Amino acid sequence: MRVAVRVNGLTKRFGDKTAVDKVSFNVGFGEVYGLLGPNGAGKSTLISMIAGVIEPDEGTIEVLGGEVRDSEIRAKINYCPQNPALYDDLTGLENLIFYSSLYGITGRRALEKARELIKRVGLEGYANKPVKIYSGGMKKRLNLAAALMNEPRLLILDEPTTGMDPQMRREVWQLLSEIKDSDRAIIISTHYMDEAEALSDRVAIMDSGRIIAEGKTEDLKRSYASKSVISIEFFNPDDQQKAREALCRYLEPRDIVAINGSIRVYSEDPDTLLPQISLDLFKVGVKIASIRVVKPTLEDVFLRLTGRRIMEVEG
Amino acid sequence: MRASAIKAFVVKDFKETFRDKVAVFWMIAWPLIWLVLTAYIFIPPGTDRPMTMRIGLVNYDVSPGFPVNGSILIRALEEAEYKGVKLFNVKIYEDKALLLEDIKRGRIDAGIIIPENFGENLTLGQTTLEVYVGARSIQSTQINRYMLERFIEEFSRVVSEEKIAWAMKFIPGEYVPLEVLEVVEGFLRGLAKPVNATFTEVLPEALISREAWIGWYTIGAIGMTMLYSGLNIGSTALLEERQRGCLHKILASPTTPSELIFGKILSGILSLSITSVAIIVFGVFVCGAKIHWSPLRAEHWIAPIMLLVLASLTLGMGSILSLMVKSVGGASNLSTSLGLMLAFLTGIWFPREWFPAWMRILADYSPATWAVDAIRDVIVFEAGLMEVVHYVIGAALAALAVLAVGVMIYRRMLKKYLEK
Repeated sequence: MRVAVRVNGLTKRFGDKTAVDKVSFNVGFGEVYGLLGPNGAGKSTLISMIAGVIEPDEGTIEVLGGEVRDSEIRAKINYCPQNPALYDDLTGLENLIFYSSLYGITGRRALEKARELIKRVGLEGYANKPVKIYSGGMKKRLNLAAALMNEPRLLILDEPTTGMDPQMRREVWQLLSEIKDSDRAIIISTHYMDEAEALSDRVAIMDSGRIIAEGKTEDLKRSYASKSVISIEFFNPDDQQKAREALCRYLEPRDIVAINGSIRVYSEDPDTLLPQISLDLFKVGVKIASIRVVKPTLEDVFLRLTGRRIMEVEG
Repeated sequence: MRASAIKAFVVKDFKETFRDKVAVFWMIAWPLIWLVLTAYIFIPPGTDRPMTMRIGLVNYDVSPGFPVNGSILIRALEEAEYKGVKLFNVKIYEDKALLLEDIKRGRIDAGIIIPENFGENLTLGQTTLEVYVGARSIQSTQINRYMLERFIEEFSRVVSEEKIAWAMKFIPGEYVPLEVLEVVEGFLRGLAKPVNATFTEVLPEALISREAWIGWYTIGAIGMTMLYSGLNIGSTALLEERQRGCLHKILASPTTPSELIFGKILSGILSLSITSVAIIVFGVFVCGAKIHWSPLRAEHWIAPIMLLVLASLTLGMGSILSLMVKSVGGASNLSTSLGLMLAFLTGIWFPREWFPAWMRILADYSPATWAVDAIRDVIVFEAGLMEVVHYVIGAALAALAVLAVGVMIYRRMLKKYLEK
């Protein structure tokens, strides 16, 4: 794997708080690397350091074989912030041309590239209209187009679909899959596990400023979750504790996670375990609303590692 | 520093500023409204002409046999002029009570009662006049009284000349030598008017014309706009980028903090320069301001240079102000209030001569006022380079110092914003 980004021992503190704590990873060309974690996990700080916006207190970052502070290297990367970084009184085209000028792309070249990208993100009819009349989704798409103006070899996306409806998210996913290129590396931070799974070749799960797990999504699920998950929901939420105590008699406590009034049991042999669980819970008087076998997700990986959920899944 | 990045900020900020209706109101419309008010309400056309006094007269003089009588005084009042303008608008009353009533009601400014035998007494000896001056305000009383005193003094002098000439006819020339006659005549003239003072007006021509006053206020409008707009642009330059969420994206590009800061300062200077040109054009062509500018005259180049100095100074002051504000709205409100207050208190909008002594100190030590005064002196009052050089050097040094502090503050704030 040709390495595009090499991060080693990166640490950033703000006063007493350590936002990023000794983080190391590599991202290769042609790869989409996902940073998954809840709000406050340190994803945005990490991304800001990789983009060269803030300086780390410790550790090193090598981007595209050089120093991120080097303007030649910066000219080959681009950063798409979580909230659209756009000027409301300028038109869509003017916004793109402004950002391209910061990369030294001006005149006819900038105009042609801006028109091409406007078309690509489906905003042809709005190219010459001020951004203040754009909807939230249109702004997000224009924001993404602005990040592509310099045809970056490293594209850094901070929560690109936060606040979007499911339809819009899928459109952005489609666009991102189109720009994936063997000569381009993409780092994407998200707290949506479905987004991380859908887009990323490899995922780093972050919590409290540290990477607590890293790898391909299937490998992570296999390593930290299990083959299957038995999801149990109750008519009476008070039954959750009673059920957990009953299951702990013959299952490892770390394989049982109680969350939001339900219980998830991680198992390599769900076909055998499911009838047994149903019978045992019936015996202790727990009324089951539903019990089913599901495939583990990255959320399960996070749950097993931290005992907490990343967030409620949208859409 | 890369020109493309700096130009990008200048073009972007320029478009944003002049597409924002609120910004256009404050930067263009507001100073123009003030100029119109000044030119047509506070200094209306005709303000610089001599004033005409409304005067009432009651003539009780019935001495037709004498060469001088009440009618001659009335005619003299009606014919008195100053710089081609009639000094008195005369109204004849039948009765003293009616005349006094009109003075009290403010219908006339003053009244003169010409007594019975006025002509006879004037010819043969000394006469009296009753003069009533309306006392609506100290200033108007002072002016009206002065005008009437001056008129009566001049009328007395002319009558004296006539009476001396007439009296000299009674001295028989064949018995008295000519030298003695001349001494006697001189002595009599001395009795009539011991001191014959001459008055010559040496007020600066530019100060007294209405056009020059409007020129003065036109430059004042630029100074006022520069103060609040410069403070506003300076205090919100980085805050606005941060509040919009664009700062991280800009600094993730090859753009350096220096390019960002320099681009922001340049765009501010460009916007303020365009505002200044608009105000001057409006002042000259709509309000009739007297402003001279010729590219062929070296000293006239002080005006654009001082405009740039003033813009840099106010932008630098704005950057210092940004240390005290947390939001764009807060910065705008503070800049506008502070800018207007400074314009009013430092001799930029109101002439410092109107201020009490302690307040003039503010104007005397304000670099913004130095820059504005240098512009006024050169293009309104046609002063030479040496007359304003102290203002020019003082303002330029102050602007450089304030701008340097401003750039340091911007750098510090950038670091703070990015790490927040």
